[in-house]
Amino acid sequence: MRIIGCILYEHNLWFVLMAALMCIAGSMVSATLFRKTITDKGEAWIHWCFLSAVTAGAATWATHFIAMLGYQTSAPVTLDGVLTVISALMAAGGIGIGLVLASSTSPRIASLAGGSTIGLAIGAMHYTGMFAYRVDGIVHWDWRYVMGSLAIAMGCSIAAIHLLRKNDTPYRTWQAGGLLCLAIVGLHFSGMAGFSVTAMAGYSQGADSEAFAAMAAAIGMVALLIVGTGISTYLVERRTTTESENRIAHIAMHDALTNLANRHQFTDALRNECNALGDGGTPFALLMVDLDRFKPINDTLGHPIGDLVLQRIANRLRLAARDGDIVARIGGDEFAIIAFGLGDPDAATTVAERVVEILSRPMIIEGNVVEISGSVGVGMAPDHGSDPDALVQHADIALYSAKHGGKQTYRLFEPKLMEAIQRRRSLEASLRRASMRNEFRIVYQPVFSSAQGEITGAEALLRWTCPQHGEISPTEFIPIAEELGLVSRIGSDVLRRACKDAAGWPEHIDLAVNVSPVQLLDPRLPQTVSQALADSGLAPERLELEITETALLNNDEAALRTLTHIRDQGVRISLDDFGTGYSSLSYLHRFPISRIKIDKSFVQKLPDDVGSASIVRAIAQLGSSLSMKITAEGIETDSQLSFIQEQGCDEVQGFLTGRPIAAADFLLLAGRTVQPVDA
Amino acid sequence: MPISRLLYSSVSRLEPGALTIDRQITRIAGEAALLNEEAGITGILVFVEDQFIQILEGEAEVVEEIFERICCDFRHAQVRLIDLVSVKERLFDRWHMARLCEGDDPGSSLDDDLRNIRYLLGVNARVAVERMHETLLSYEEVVP
Repeated sequence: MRIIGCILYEHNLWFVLMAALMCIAGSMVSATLFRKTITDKGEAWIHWCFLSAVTAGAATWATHFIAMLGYQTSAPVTLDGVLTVISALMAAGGIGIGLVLASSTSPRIASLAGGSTIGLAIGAMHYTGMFAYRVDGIVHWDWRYVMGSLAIAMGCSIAAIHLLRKNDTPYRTWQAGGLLCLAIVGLHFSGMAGFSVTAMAGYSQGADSEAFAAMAAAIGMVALLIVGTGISTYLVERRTTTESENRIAHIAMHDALTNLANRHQFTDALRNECNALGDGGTPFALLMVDLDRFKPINDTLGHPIGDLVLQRIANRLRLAARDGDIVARIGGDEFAIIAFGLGDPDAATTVAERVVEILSRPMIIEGNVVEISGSVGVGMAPDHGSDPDALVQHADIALYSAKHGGKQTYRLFEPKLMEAIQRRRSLEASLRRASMRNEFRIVYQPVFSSAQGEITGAEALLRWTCPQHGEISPTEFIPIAEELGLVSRIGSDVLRRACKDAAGWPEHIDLAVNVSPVQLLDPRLPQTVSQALADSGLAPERLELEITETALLNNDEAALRTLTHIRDQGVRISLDDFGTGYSSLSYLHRFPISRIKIDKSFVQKLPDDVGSASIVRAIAQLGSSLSMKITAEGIETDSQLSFIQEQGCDEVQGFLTGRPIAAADFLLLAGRTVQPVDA
Repeated sequence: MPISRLLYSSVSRLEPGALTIDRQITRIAGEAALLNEEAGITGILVFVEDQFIQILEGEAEVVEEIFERICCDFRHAQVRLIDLVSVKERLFDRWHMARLCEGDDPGSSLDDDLRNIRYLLGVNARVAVERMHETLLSYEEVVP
């Protein structure tokens, strides 16, 4: 009660208010600076220690000084300048020592020793200041209040340091600031409650009160400046820290090249959005984007241009996505868009359409025209998955299907795609197994001389029965085998077995084997061929390798070398599916080709389709003038056969003359014309 | 200093709204002309049968930048880059963006000429550029 009475009756309340503001502001700043000091290390720690001690010291001292100005006593007052300055130095010095102790690694020393030193420093400042406060009267101290006031200051400071060391939340700092404030206020007013002055009658030679007030104001201003400097230093430091923290956070979350979100941020955002689905979050769409022809750009124009392309693409993707969507680069040329709140599949495919369109537009980079395109797979959450893994997997399946559906397009996930991809995966696995175990069958389609109608040869064709899915067409499994890199292996196996079979046929029956473009790129092909011939004992003149035009595109130098090697062994080369590709006449001229096979798509339209008829006629004439043999494939009707015969094609093959049959059956068929060799 | 000349075509996705399509194009060409004057770009914008045909002449980097902006603009569809050449002199040096639209001069052969230019694009880009220049010269008086 006496303390409250002391505040209310013995102090000018305006000064008390000012002191209180000084105290609150000073304590909060001090607490913040203390925390910084306690947690920092090295050279910075020394600076922080100094700054905190000076600021906190000045703040405490200013509080005390302003409050003392408001202390109302009937007795005249003078101030001892030297002692006043000493009291300020004691505050700063004592708090500095306290902070050094509070930074100790031992928690007990830190809180107890550090806190009590700071409390004592505040006390020492206060009472030294009181000695500097010379009152003309009889001064009386009540020592119980003095001891009590020191206990309050030490107790509150210990608690404040303890809180600051515990953890690093702003809330704790405010609490510690409150405790420091309590330490200063408690010390001051309980100390003042134990202080009383009785004026001596007739003795009134006090200091010049105007000069006193001016000095007081000046000292107060200096103290305020110091506290202000402390605050601004802290704020500047915090801003720089925040900026560099923000920059580091930005680097951690973004792709350096394109400044899009990186995989890390994408994964986080997707997980958050999926988690939110359970708590009433909105449905959204996930778009997986893959560039279709990016690698060749890096290869032909170089990586610097490739990087510029990626930057342009990033910018275009941002424009194609809606504001607020996350566009992320999740791989070299893989991107993803999280379209928040987009629950309608039609709206999602509209975004996908925009992405496909904007990526397909040309780009000019440093004078180079770059044509690129992208494919998009769309997955809807929660319909196509409500956890990140399932959703990404399904959007990827849609993307895969878009890429295999001709690229530069988009697909919305549907369960049907899942079946297709599962079939594909299981085919891939079976195909690998089949190629390890040579589970392929070879059938032979007889080739007849168109004039005499005798068997002159056979084309070896590959057949595969998948244990799970049954008979698989070569048009389906050959491309898969090509992608899996199995084609060379399968191809050389076929060649070896077919040569072995053919070695048992009558000698006038030739063998034709297909060679895929991938095989033709393999420089070991001539070696494989001569090995197969040597192992089987088949005469090279009886073997013919069938190639397609696509094999010659883009790599005609290498292909020419390989084919010339093979031709030099005595093996003939024929051009399959002629008329469907580029049908470049220069190939016929440059490559060692001895036969042209007219594609069945023309033959099957004979004889009524005028266009096909003239094409077949032209190819036949071309063959005779270049002295190449001509075979017509895919003959199904008698009228087709007679048209072909009229045109002077050398050989025919097709369902009409003979379907592909197993090796043993072909041996029987071939043996009928001439005495069988070993039947 | 060599100048880049770029020719592209696109299909318009402009929809009649508060302004008719003609007015929108006039406004777009007007805005472009202001920007082009600063950027040192000259050229012509032809609008025929819902299709934009535009020539941009200027420093290579600037042309590149403007074309990228066009490629990022969803008011265009089916953007096709037809020709990009380095030339010694500008052909449209007097126009920061001239504009010729179908229907600008009813009763004359302008519409036919523009359709002819559109056809020429697929056949011979260089000839199409010359024809655009000639057409512009002969209708300069009539067209805004």
